[in-house]
Formats: sequence, C-alpha cells, structure tokens
Amino acid sequence: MKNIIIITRKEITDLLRDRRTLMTMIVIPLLMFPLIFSIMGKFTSTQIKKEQEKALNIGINDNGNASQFRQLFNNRKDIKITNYSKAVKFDTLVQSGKLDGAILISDNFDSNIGTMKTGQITLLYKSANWGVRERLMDIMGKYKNSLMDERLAKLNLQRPAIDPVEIKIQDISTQREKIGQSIGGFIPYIFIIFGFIGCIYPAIDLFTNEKERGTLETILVTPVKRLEILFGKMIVVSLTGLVSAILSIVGLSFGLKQFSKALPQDIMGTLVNFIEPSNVIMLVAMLIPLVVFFAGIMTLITTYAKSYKEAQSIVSPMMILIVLPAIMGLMPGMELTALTAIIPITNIALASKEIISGTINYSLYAMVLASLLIYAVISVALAVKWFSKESNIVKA
Amino acid sequence: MIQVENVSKVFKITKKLKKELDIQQDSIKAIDNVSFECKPGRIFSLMGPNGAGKTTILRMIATILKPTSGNITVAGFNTIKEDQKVRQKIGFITGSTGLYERLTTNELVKYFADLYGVEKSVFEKRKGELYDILNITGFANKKIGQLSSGMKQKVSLVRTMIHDPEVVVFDEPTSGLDVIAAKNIIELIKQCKNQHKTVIFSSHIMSEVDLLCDDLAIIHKGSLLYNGPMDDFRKQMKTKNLTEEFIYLVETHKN
Repeated sequence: MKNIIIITRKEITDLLRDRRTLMTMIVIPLLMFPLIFSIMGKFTSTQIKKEQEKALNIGINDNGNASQFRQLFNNRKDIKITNYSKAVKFDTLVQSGKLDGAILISDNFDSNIGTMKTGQITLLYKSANWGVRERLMDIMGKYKNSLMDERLAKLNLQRPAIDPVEIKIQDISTQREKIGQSIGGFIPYIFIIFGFIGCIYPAIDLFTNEKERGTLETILVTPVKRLEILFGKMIVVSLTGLVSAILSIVGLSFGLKQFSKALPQDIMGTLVNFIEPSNVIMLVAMLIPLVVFFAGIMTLITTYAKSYKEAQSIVSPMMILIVLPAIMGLMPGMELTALTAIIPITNIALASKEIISGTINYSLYAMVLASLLIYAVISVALAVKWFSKESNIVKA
Repeated sequence: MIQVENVSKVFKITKKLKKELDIQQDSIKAIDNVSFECKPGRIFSLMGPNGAGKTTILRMIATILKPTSGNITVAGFNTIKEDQKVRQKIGFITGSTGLYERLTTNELVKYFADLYGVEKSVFEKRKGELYDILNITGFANKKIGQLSSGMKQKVSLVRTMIHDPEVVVFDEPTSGLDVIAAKNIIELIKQCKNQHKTVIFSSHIMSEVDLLCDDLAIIHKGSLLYNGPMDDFRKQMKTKNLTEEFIYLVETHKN
C-alpha cells in the first residue's frame, strides 16, 4: 500500500508538469463550454435579430385577381412585394435566393371566395430561410380568419358552431423533468466523453512512453511488486479521467450560467437544483467505477502498444465505441430499465438523465452502480493479467 | 553472489513478428542451458556479439524476465520465488535505461530511495556520498530533461546505487557515452569491487573487459563458448590479442 502511494504521488507530480495532460485534463474540459456558449450566444442572438428585421423580398403572381389579398401587403416596410407574370419560374428564383418567397394565387381565387368555395394560395419558401414561412403565414392567417368571420356572419352562425370540441393540452411535467430530458441527456454525454479523453494521454504517458523510453525497466527492478506499480499508475489514470469529467461539468454549468441571461429564470433554478449535494454524490458515485473501467481499458491498450503512435492509432477508433452507447442514452424513448441498467455507458447516461430530472428509481440506480462496479472489476482484472505478461512490459 | 544454473529462456514468437522475420517456428530459444557463477569482490564480464543473449540473461538475473527452465540465485535468494528480496539486493543499470525527464535529480533519487525503502537518515548520507563521488553539484534541482547525456548518466548511477546494493548488474553501461562519461562507470565498477560487491557487466568493448574483468563468460547464440577466470583465458589464447581471440571464437562457432 505504501508503495502504491509513493508511485501515485510521483506520477501525479510528473503528469502535472506535462503540458499536454494539463490541456486535455484541465484546460479543455473547463473552458470548452463557456467558450462555445459565448461564441454561440453572441452569434445566434445577433443572427436572430437580423433575420427578424430583414425586409423580405416576396414575388407574387395574382393571376389578375385577389386585389383585396394584395392590399394586406400595402404600406409594409418589412415585406416588399413584386408582381410577376405567370411565365416566371418562381421555384428557381426562390431557390437561388433572388426571392425570399413566392405567393401564387389561382385564377379563380376571387370567384371562389365570393361563392363560398375555397380559394387557393401556394406559398413557396425554403425552410432553411429562418422565419420566412412564419412571418407570411401570420399575415395570411389573419386574412383567412377575417374571411371566416365574414362568412359566419353571412350564415348567421357563431364560432362554436364550426368548432364543436375544444381540446386543452396541459403538460404537467415539472420544469425539472423537461430540462432533465433535454439538457439532462446532454450532460452525461459530456462527462462520459471527457472522462475517457482525460484517461488517454496519462495512460499513454504512464505505460507506452515508459516502456519506449526505458524508464519502466528502472522501476521493475525495484523491490516493488508489479501489481503495486500497475495499481499506482491506474489510480493516477482514473483520477485524471475523473478530474476532467468533473471539470467538464463545472465548465458546462459555468457556461450555462453565463449564457443564462437568454434562459428563463425557472430553467436556471432547475440547473441550480441539479447541483444539489445529493445529486452530485449520486453522479460521482457512478463516475468513479466508470473512470476505473476506462483506465482498465486504456491500460490494456497502452501496455500492448509499442510506441506512442501505435497507442494513439488504437485509442482513436475506441472513442467511437465509447460514444455510441452514450448516444444511445440520448435517444428519445430510451429509458432506464432492468435491461438498460446493465449496458455499460448507456446505463450511466440514462441514470444521470433521471437523476437530473429527479425521477430516478433507486433500485435501478443500485443496479447501474453494481453493474458499473462489475465492469470496473473486470477491466482491472484484465489489466492485471495483461500487465503480468513479460512481452507486454519488456521492450525487445 | 550470483549463481546461474542450467538456465534456458524460450521466447514465443507472435504472428506479427513471424511475418516480419519470415520464419516458421513458434518460438526461439534465446538462452540454451547456461550456467555460471559470479563471486563477491570479483568482476564478472559477459561478452558476446549483438543478439547473443546478454541482455536476456541480465534481465533474468534482475527478475525482469523469468527463466523458462533452470534456477538463478542472487545473494542467496531465488529469482522466481523470492523476487522482491532479489531486487532489494540488486542495482541494475543499462545503456538504454531512461530517466523521468520531468523530475529533478533530487526528486528522482528520492523516488527510487522510497521504492527501495531506504531509511531517511541513511538516504541523506548515501546521497551525499554519491553526489560527491560523481561530482553532482549545481544541477541537483534541475529537471532531468535539461541535462546533458553525461549528467544523465551520473543520475542513473545514483539511482542504481542509492540502496547500496550487494550485487550490481551493468548491461552495456558505456554504450553511447563519451570517454569522460564512460570513465565514471569504470571507476564505479572498480569501486564496487573494492567494496566487495558482486559485479556482472556485459560488453563488447574489449578494452573495458581487459581493464576490469576477473572472470569471463563468452556467449554466442544463447550458449556459452567460454566460462572461467580471465587469467586462464589469456593463457589459452590462440591469437595475439583479446579482440582477435573473440572474433576467432565466434567465427569458429558459426553454426
């Protein structure tokens, strides 16, 4: 035990002097989200404003009628209407961006309106152009409603006569649940990935590089047991994974807080709730076996690899194997059940989501924790076996 | 004291390596039934061309590798059953061993003293002695990455000797060093002999062997070609000097 502490302490001192480890373990997870949010925030808020204020250039073909409809657009600064003859290819004009949208009116529009039939209007727009459809539908919807009122009056009817059932929809999920399902799915995704990334460089440095540089041999000839060497190093790899996972969450919540001027007050309240001690303890309790599991996998790879490059070329595709089950946890409809509670990585993603929503089932949580522990033990056992193999630790 | 008795070492060949070397067999016998003894107060030299198996034998003595068959005893302890006790008695240094470049000399020496379980008071005294002998001044608090290769070699020597080992194993210790740095090693080997330590070193540099060696073993393709006192070897030589005799021996045993 004393030897494990000696090794752990030395490796931490050593790693903290490595710029690459500091970057991936501390700087990137801590600063990534505040930076992304501030850039995104600035960009989207100015962009939205610009889109809303921009005057739309709309082409219309009225087929010689619908003068009443056209009056809707008179004296509007935000929409500029240009009349085109039928021969113009509107879809090309809209596609190329010369027009923001086009309105085509059927030649029997006025007569249909006058004879209580349906007049047809076709609206061409690109859904990629944000807000065009909404702004035009708003104007035309009001026109449609006024025509409706006219007809009802003519027929001597009241609105309820054509609206027999009123359906009221009430979402009774709490704000916390709503956020839990949206951002809640995102948070575990972040810390799973950063937990893994945080393990990569330290593992390569502590196993592959030591073998490559011939320093591993110098500790193999000390009276320390090989298992003590392995555990000392794995503790450090797990710790760096844990630190970078936790820092990514700290960075994320800090970023959200900075960005929150745009967010409603109650969402912020929920996020603050999420940082409640009991939630944090439950999350960290799952994170610890997760990073040990990662450290075990990384030990297998970095002990096997003969060079830094080889280690990296194996680790990079591994990222996909880690990300996929995490994404599975993000998918709608995926819920924490007795089955998903034992799928590694997916289980922690789903459980975190429920913890944040405040809907966690404690017996399922216990299952998640137990299965994560089992995976951690298996990966450590494999690492032990692997590290005991001469050909893996001695340079030829 | 080191006793090597009928030791063989077989390496399994991976599929990848098989392809690279273009060979069929599944394993290679790197060491074939080797026996010798290194006595305290004498310098034992293991000589052989590249790939003869010198490093493999020394690694087995240092417990890094396990013999496939046979027994090795170091200072009375078996390298397989009592490996930790063996390592406590051994100082091991090779031309290719590295140092933790981000640590300072003092930090590195302290780390190894801790791993060897050296008591604090003993540690300070030994460290002082070794720093004096090797003239380590001025760079003890510098990061090792910033040191010259001569300085690094000195740090390696302190690392090897900090627990005052009874048996010292040098694997081509002077390879890649200039004459000044190599002199430090040669002085240290002589000093170990004077302190009645058991010393084994591998080399293919004849002048070193000539200068230091009391007992000699010549190894070629995993088997010993000669094992005995250096004086006896000189007497029975068929050629004029050591280098020629070494070449002659290896050439005549080509197959």
